[in-house]
Amino acid sequence: MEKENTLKIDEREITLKNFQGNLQIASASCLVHLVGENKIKHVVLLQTESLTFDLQDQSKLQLEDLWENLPNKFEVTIYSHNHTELDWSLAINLQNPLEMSIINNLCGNQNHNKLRIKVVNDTDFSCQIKTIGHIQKQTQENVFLEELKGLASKTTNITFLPQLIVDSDSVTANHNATIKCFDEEELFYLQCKGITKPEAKKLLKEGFINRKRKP
Amino acid sequence: MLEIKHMNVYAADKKIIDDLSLTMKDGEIHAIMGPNGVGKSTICKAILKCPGYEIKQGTIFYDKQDLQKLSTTDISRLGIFYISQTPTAIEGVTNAEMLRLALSARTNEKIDIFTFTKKCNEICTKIGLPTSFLHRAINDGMSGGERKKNELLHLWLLEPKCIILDEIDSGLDVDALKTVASSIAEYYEEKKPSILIITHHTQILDIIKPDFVHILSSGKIVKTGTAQLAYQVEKEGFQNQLEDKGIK
Ligand SMILES: Nc1ncnc2c1ncn2[C@@H]1O[C@H](COP(=O)(O)OP(=O)(O)O)[C@@H](O)[C@H]1O
Ligand SMILES: [Mg+2]
Repeated sequence: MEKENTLKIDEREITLKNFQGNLQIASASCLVHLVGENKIKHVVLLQTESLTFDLQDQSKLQLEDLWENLPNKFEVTIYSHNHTELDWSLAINLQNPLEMSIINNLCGNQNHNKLRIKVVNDTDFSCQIKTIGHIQKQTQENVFLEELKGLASKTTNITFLPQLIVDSDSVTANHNATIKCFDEEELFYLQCKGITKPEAKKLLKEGFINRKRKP
Repeated sequence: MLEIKHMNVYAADKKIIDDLSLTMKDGEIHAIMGPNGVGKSTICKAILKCPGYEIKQGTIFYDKQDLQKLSTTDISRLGIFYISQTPTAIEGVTNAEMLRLALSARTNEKIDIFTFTKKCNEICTKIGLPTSFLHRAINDGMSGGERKKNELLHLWLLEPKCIILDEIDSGLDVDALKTVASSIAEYYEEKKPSILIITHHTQILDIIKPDFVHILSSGKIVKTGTAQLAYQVEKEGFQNQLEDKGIK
């Protein structure tokens, strides 16, 4: 098996070119310029309050991640210039209160941004996720797709605040947000097989997070 | 032994089962028949302590344990196994994940993956379910017949002592019905569990032969007989049986 490559970042600014591996970010704020094709598997945020991804022309960023230990409050900002591709699948298994903002700026033409966030909150902590998709003026042929999904012990402990600002006529944009509670029928079914309620919830949580999107 | 005495069951504040008593000894097969909406499924859900169903009067004991004092999980671990009319699908959770957990909880030991897989594959072959189903999400995207066979996989693996089948024959074609019923009959021959079988049809009772048949009407058992009663009902309809008893 290939050894996992983990890059530890203490700087406030860094450029990654054709990077594949994990990131560990130790600085409070960090600006990451991306060049070429980048595949990041896992990001660990140590003290980070703000993280910025700057996708240079023609660059790609693929991020598939499960976040478990997050700062209580932080912001991710993305700038997509021209002909970029962002594919970000983020799963969060909440373990502390969370207030997160994701700001997606499509500044140039023909960018393709796809953001999927899944959150499980089986705790009493509050979780607020605010997203802004901003398709800027005089841009052409951008695609912006956003999907937020939550699974919670009660619907009140996840809040999604998705916002779409479209200043261009030439864009395909779509966002949706859904939150569901643990399904009583599913819990009953699993308990009927002799599984305890906490174990059943754990199975449903893992199933929700690991579930691949249906084609 | 499963012993229900004078049970009243309420759902959404409505009385659905009214003063129902039923005793099922180990190794016995009982069938409950009755028109739609009389409360057959409610009986099953009350036994398993399904949320939303409240027993306001009466008792249910199994092997001297008061089921009303136990959780659904504990009732299952006593060896009571329920196949609902429409088995729930669970996206994202595979049969294998769930079954390993269920099995190790029952036996109190971790079973190794090889023994587990081997056993599951043998069962799949026996019931005509592709072995790949072991790693599919529980009942998700499965046809009616596949769901029932999938439940049989769980049954054979978990080896219950008391089985509750709620219209397991509904929505099955002739061949699937034969496979499913024969598999349960085979399980009965091997392990001699008690079986409570709810059905509208006698086809399944040709294969899983009941010792007693009960007719349910308005939440009460109004008539009990031998297997013969089921054939009579099929021929003459429920109404005849009820009128016979002076119930309309
Ligand atoms: N959870 C529930 N809430 C309200 N009414 C219910 C509920 N479950 C069952 N009922 C009602 O109780 C009656 C019996 O239902 P059920 O037990 O499913 O009948 P059967 O299985 O005999 O067709 C029906 O009138 C049904 O609408
Ligand atoms: Mg029913």
